[in-house]
Amino acid sequence: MAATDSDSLGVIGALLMIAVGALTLFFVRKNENLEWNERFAAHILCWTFIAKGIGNSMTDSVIARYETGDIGLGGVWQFEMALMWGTDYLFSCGMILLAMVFPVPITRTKKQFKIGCGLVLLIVLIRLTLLLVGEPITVFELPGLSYLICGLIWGSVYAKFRLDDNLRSRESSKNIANIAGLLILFQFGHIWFSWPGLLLRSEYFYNFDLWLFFSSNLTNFMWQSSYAFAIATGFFILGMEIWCANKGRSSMLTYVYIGYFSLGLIGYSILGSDAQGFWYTGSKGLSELWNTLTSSMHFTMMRPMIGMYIIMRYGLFETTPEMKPRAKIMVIILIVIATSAFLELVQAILPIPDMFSAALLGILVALGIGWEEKSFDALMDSSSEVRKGHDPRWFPELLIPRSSFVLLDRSLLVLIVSVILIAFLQWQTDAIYNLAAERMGMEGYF
Amino acid sequence: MTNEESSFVKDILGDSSEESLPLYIFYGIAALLVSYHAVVYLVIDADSISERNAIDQWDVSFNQNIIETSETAFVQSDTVSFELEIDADILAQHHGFGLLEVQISYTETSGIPFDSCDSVSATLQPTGAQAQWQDESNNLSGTSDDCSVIFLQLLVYPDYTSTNISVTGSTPEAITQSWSDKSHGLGTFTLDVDVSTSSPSPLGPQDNGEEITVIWSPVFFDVNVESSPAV
Repeated sequence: MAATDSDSLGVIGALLMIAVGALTLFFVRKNENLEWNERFAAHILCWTFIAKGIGNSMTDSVIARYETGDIGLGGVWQFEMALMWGTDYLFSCGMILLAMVFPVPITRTKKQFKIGCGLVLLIVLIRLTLLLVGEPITVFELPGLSYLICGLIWGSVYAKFRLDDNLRSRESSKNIANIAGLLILFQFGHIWFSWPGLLLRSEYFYNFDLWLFFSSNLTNFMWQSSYAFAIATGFFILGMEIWCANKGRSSMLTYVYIGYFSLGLIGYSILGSDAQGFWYTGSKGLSELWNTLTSSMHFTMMRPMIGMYIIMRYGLFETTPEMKPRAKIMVIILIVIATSAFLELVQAILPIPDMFSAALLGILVALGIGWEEKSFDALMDSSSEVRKGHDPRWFPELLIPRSSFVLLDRSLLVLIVSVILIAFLQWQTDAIYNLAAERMGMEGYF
Repeated sequence: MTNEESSFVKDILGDSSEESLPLYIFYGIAALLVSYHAVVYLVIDADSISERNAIDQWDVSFNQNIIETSETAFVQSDTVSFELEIDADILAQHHGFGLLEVQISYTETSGIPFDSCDSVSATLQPTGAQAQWQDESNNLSGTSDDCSVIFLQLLVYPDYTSTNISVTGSTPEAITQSWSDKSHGLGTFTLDVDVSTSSPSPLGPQDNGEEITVIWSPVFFDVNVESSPAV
């Protein structure tokens, strides 16, 4: 990211994610009416938000340091980079756990559920161990695995419940398909902005080097293959949505997907002659500006919004009359943060006076709160049913005690703290600097 | 059917080919695009893609431009301040202001026989302009009592040494940008010079001061970034 005022957008977006995660966790823990898979999903979603928010708060700083060459021995950039990687491990593995149980559990017995969780935990531990011993970013981390697994599961669930003649007429099936489509959007949205680059062999897709000199060609290939898979998943859903709309069965997903893929097409005319990937943001050049308005906006604004929408719309929230006012306060806080982030971005791009932007902030917040007052009840009261009318085999009843979820919260908190400590160690021992020096001059690493 | 017997994969694929058709379309599109990507990445554009692992390495050199100015003043047994003002117009002519070197020279001017050199001390006051006042390489004060020249030096631009440096990664524009901060050196530098006169005899003619010459040598630089062979 170029060093501009819009740098702060990433930090605000990170704060937004942490706020959504932490506040939602509070409400989810109070909710007594969740099924085991919904409760598990809600807890995982909250913690992945918190972890990713912490990591995202480092991203802009790392990029700015890299661009100015401030990546010397003993530099704090090592802490930032290691923390970014570590929290991304938690986020991506959290998404796999989420896909495993939500909206439809793919693990149908306690044994399957335990094996699934165990495998994901194993991946986390392998990745963190590699980071701890100073060998991160290799093929042994299985880069792109979460895109592949989540895309396969949610794409299949979407296809089944949106298109199957026996299922699709039910309201609950529509809700399941919408959740799957939204979760795919949540995770893949930023990748879809570069779909023409994949097809037209553009540099901004193929020469985009996410991990700079830390990654080998093979690691980059694996990662990019998962991007190709993500774009394929998006194509499929987009095609199916257009087909359904043609049959008179359009949904809100139709418009959102068309929007994302249209922006990707427009973006080709801007990024097509560029070799810069989606993380080159800012307001200096047209391509940076475009990335700020698309991929960066997806990370900072859309992900928290989609997450919040899923949690509220599909009943993961406590919705008793006692808790509703508190939930409203949370929504208002998030709207204010998101609005100020958006204005920060606008102000970085357009030379508008502070006084005008302050007035605009007031108007937007008022509109946002007005929207909230009007739409909150409608959102909370709309159909969130996902089980009704379906064969029980789709939603097996697993008896998981509430104490297990307390343990889950504590374990995830410990994992986040461990990642912070590992990142600190990497900085203090100059492990990331040494790794960079080693890999820049070394052939044959994976 | 119990949960032990049912399978998610079986249920997703369904019983008939009609049910599973959308899923096969999905998997087909995915396989097609992933294969296409593999062919482009590993075969068609393999050479250009592998080149990206060559790390950009940049040699950064500095073209120095020293603009000397001097001033002379007669200093009696007191402190006199000399000033050098650097304004934005001067700074705009170069990428940056790296160092400030100051020479303070004097000779015994009393004309009194056997009158030895007076004691002169000079100090750059750490106020008035933005510079690296705390840097260890600075020499902000000096004294002389044998008519030798006093040399002072102040680092103005952070980390500037005038020698070439090597930068890994980044871009020429960003590197040049990082050496183009015009705030460093902007303002007025103040040099306080103090003369302590000495006369050969308290009964004879008295030495009443020295003529001090101060040469200010601000070192401005322009950055030149060139690609060096990849590592």
